[in-house]
Amino acid sequence: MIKINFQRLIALIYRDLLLNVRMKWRIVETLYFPVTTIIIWGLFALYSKTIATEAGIIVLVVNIFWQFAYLSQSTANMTIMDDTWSGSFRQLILSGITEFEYIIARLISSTMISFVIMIIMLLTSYFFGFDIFTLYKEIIILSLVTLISSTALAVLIASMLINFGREYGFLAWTALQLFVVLSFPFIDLNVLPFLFQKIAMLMPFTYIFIAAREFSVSNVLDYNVVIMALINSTIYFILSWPIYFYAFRLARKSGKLARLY
Amino acid sequence: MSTIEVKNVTKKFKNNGKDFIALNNVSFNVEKGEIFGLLGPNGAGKTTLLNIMIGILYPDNGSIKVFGSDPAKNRDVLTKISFLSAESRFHWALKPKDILNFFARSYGLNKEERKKKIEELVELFEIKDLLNKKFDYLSTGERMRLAFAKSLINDPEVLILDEPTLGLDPDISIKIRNEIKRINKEFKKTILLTSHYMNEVEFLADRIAFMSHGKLLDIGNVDEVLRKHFSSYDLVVTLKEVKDKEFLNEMGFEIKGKVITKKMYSGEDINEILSALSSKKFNIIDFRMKKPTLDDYFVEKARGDKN
Repeated sequence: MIKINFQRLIALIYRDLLLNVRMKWRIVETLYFPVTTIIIWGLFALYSKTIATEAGIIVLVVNIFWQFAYLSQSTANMTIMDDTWSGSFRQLILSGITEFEYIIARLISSTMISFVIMIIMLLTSYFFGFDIFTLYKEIIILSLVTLISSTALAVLIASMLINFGREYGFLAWTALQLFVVLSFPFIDLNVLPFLFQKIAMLMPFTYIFIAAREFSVSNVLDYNVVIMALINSTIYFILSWPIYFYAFRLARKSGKLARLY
Repeated sequence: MSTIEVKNVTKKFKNNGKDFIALNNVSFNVEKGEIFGLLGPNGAGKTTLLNIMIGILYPDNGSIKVFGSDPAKNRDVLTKISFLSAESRFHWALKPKDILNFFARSYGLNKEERKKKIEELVELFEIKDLLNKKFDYLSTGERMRLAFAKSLINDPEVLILDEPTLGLDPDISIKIRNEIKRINKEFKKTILLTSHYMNEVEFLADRIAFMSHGKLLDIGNVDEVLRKHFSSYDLVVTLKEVKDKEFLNEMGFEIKGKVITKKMYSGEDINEILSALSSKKFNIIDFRMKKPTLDDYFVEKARGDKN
């Protein structure tokens, strides 16, 4: 099943992008929430400077990576839900598109959209004191690690959607939140109870948020933390694939795939 | 090798903790170039069987092979098949031209081939005026015509049609049936069809299989199946005037006004019956033979099921 036909892959990516053109309001929806969030926290960053605290810039930078992770994961999973809600999922699967091609196309198109929005968010944050032009290398490195994590989560959530069916569609836009909460984005892990510290260390975004908090203040990226983030992300990424293929197998056995339409 | 080989297929589902047998050891073959009708009341297992055939459901036991391959394992075989059902849907925001282009592209047609094929199908199914309307705004008939156009875009060798004319206006249904017949005859496509319209199956199918409660009960060509189940047909005679009712009753006629009906069994000669009526000075206005149809067969089978 791990086999790619590039014509089918390109057709799927083109279709995903075309859908955004045909549903213009969706571009507004995709853009509106991340950018307004950055404006809200950007204003807080400006205000916090006046009271001599760096909390504002920390919240702003963490939010940029949080929004980026959310966008790249939820866009991929929402296109799957879109296919099932519109009843076109079956037609796609029956045209010979493999499950691997199907998810890869979604990941590529969501990555393309997310990077465009990421650039807009970064440009917006520049006006609130985040020096993106000096820190562009660090931002790119951390963005790529974030992308690995959110891709892994997108594949895991896709497995759940395929296996549990349409009534679990809400996972597409809610599941990531749980991982973010347990990554404790705005708090030093040392102040947490031992159990929560251990849980946090297993989460895909914890080290990304630690690195983001640190370099938003010091302008220096701690590569030891980045390596920990990369290890966590890679483990999630590797584990997500067998789960995805197993989910398809189970759904084919139980009849859930036939009911996805 | 048959085009479709269904071999000892069994499938169970859990229903409220209990096993529900959707398919029970079903076997049959569909040969190249034939139109094969799959019949049965709701819940007979037809859809389950089709789902296994198109590779989105695994059987518990047995196998279905299309061109010698299992579609669930060898996805490439799906490029030689097209599936169309009354429930065929496409993304509501896409236009028919986007949909046809997408599938043509995913089946590997280059730009020139795509253009030519789409123009051909657009003309065939008269969907030129629909090309720029979003799928959401199409009527049931328009959606079905688009689904038909899409189903032929990969020039499939096997067409699986699940209730293809459900919900269509009679004139479109007739057109679609003629088109199915034409696709089969001219292009030698193998077609597997399910339908609740028995006249449709009778018109189209070379062979039929009847399923009920997950089991295959009958298989053969329409005449064979009907002959097997109905050993008689009705002779219906309209008379100018009914007299000598005793004689008619002795001959086995049922009398309803001026119309008399008699069950004819093999070995009975219709000319002898009509001569006997003439010799008794009955004035015959009209006579016809009422042969059992698939509708009669379906009703009898379904009734047998309930009992």
